[in-house]
Amino acid sequence: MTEQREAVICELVSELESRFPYAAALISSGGGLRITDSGREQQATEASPTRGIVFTVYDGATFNEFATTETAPDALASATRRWASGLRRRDGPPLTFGGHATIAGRDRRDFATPMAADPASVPLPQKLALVRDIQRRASALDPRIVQARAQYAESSGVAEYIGRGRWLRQRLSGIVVGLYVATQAEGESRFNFFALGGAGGYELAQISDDQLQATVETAVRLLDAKRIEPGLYDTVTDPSVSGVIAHECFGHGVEMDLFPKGRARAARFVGQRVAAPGVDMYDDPGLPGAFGSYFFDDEGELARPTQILRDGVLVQPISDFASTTYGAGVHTANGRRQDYSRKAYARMSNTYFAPGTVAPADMIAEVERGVYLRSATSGMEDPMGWGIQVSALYGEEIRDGALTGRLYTQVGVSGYVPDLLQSITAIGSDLALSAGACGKGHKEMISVATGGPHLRMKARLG
Amino acid sequence: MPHDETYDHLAATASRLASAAGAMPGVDAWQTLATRRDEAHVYLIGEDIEEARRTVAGESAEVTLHNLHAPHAPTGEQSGAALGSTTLTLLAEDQGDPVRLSARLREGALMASLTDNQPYTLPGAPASGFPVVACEDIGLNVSLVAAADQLGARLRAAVRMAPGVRLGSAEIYAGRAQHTLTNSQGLTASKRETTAFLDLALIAGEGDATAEFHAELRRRRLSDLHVERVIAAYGAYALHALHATPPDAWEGPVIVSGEAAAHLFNPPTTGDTPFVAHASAESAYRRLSKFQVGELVTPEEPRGDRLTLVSDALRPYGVRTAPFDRDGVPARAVTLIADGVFRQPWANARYAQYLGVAATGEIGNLTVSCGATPLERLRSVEHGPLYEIVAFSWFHPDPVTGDFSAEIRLGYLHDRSGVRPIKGGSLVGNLLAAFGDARFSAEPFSDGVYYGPAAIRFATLTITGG
Repeated sequence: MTEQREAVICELVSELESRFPYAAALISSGGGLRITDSGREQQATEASPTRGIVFTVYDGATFNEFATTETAPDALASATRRWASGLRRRDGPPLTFGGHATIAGRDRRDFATPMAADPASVPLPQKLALVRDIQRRASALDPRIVQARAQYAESSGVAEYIGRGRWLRQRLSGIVVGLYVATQAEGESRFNFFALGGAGGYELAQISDDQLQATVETAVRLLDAKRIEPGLYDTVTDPSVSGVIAHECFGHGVEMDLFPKGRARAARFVGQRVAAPGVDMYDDPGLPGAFGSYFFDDEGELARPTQILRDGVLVQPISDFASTTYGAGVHTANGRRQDYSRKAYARMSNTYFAPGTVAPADMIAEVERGVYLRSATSGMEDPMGWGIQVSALYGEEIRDGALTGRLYTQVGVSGYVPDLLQSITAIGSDLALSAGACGKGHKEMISVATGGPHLRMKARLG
Repeated sequence: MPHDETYDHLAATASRLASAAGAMPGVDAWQTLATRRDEAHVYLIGEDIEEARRTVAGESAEVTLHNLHAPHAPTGEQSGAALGSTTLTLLAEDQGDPVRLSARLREGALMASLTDNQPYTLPGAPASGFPVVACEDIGLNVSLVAAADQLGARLRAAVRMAPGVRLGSAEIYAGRAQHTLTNSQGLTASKRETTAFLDLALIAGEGDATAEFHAELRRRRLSDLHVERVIAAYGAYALHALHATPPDAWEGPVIVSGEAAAHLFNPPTTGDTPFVAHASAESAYRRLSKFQVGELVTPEEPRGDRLTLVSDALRPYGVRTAPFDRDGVPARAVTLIADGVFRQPWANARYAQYLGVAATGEIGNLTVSCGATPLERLRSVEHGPLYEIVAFSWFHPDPVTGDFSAEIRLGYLHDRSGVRPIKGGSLVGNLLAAFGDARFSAEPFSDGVYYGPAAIRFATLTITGG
């Protein structure tokens, strides 16, 4: 940011702070690079960069925002003042952040994602060669492959928050590498995918031969997969499925912006048992290396973990500024925006079940007849009704404590959230998180991670 | 296209970028897209609280650069030159500084030179021009904030008239955008569009006995949101959800109606459902399509109504209505599937040339031909009970296989004793196979993209018990 623009933004925030209980500016930019190679097609293109400023004013009753891409200092100042001239101080709920500190204090802090190799320092041909190599290695593994598409995506974002006595700056970096494999035989088509990702640098960009081999083998094995007979099953979930269950059940379910709207059943269950004893769950934006990590949220709240479930009891929802203002609750570091042009909501970061003590193999060994559910593909929340929809790419039959090799394709989990979580009978000793994207309903997409250990539960599958 | 300040400004941006791209060594073809967006957002909590209001104004410019070169790794398929392409989004500071703009374009040209694809040619200006289409609400050409406020007031009034329900929350977006597209084939085109969006949650009941109905509606015009009608219908759904019980396990006839029927073709998030995915030239080029021109799209000869699906970018005020697509291909209506038989793929400029088929433009609004059976007849329980699904949590089928498993957010059991609301469990099946035995209602429904039967009765689908 130029010194002149910095001075103008600082002056504008100060002016607004003198008129209203709260004012702040968030300057954010995001971008990245995406490379794909399917053998027949190659693409290397920027992830559409965004850059904008959003000014926020709490007038005493309503949060007002002006978001713009304008960067010229004079034009920015006049547009912001024109917008602010229409605002009036009003009476309403008091703010909960504990004081009306102004930016005069200027508590300046800078943060950056730790990384061994800055992706910006790696030449593009080297990245292209990496993707080509993954594509070539994978496509050579089986003649039934009709498409092996390798992907590399790097994301970078810079955010500056000015308000509440703070001037915070963070530079975030994330990498995802992945492989999508489509197979065909005798009129059947199936696919499988594998992705690795996290917060960090180019050092994360690697897929081993074993991982490629396993991805292709499963895509081929899925050609013989059938749909599962709907019913209630003893189910072991892999960390990706466990993570999506955590995310949909008591991630979205405890987003506190829904509480004052009367849209979250969890509002009436704080302090009550909602899962089996021993089940702990967290949302932690400060988790090193996780894809949903940040140092402060889009409302200037410094990242810290929130324990959502403790020993099966709902102890703390996640919140943003507005939800604590209208609903009076603990402010956590979860106020997040899709980008400068969208509102902040209470959103997840890295959401996961904490590991337990049972080895995953032992979990399967104790199932007489059930399903090992793997590779989560999607999920949907129902914060009011506490229904759940989680989809897995496939499940594998368990008989007499062993996997039989029989696969079921496109397996959905549905049910009532407390029934599902209270049916958990074993918590794995492992822990893995997957990079993903999350919407609020069907919009407001942000980067998150979900995960956990293997879990054993009773689940309705179909 | 009326000449206004925004038009002139975007045209100047496009012209500046075009000159820079055309002069850049290593750029064999280019396209620019300059966009201006303005939006007003109003967020409501319940009856009383205006949580937030936002004003958004922004400009963006994209430049796509193409480079022809000798293939880096020649394959058996590719002879001659290879084409590489990349798209840059240029921020204001990139555009305003010639040195910086030049550096960004040079970087893009280098990026394009490193990838190998089959060459294709950008579309030129169409001889007969672009079609005149309706995709603009003149009511949104004045004050977006006032328009959003008025909709909020109508919404609250409508909720007050709805018995037994209250507003949980609402998000109202009113927006307009203007785009100017140019390319190295001499094409120059502009379009304006408006958007009206409503995210709505209605709540019925109190305390532990509470249920909601949530929906996201996107249209071109505010009036097409039909607020009063929507509140009445969704209010009834919220009340029904209050008394809904889990369904029994079921294999038999299932009706999918209203927005749930629309979601079979037009999913609520990005990504295509199987009929749209398999009907694309892109899927065919990637060898992922199961459809063959002249052959059935269902695995077996249809026993019920036969599916006819049209991609229509001309439909007045459709959400995907536009005079041209991202590449400048003129809008048109194309029959993809007629009487259950695949007729032609939808194809953007690139994949049309790859396959040697007509460029239809990107997928447009989806029109499905209605049937001859009245809705009430579809719901007849003369031959036994049936389930009707009106809302899924998220209908998200596998686009390759068509397999789906979608949680039921709200539905009904129709039997001789009457109609009982249900909630929970999942509807399970294969979409391509299901259309092999289906009946379409005579009554239509539209969600802004989909226009087709208000209800589709499938002979046999599975419901996992709740």
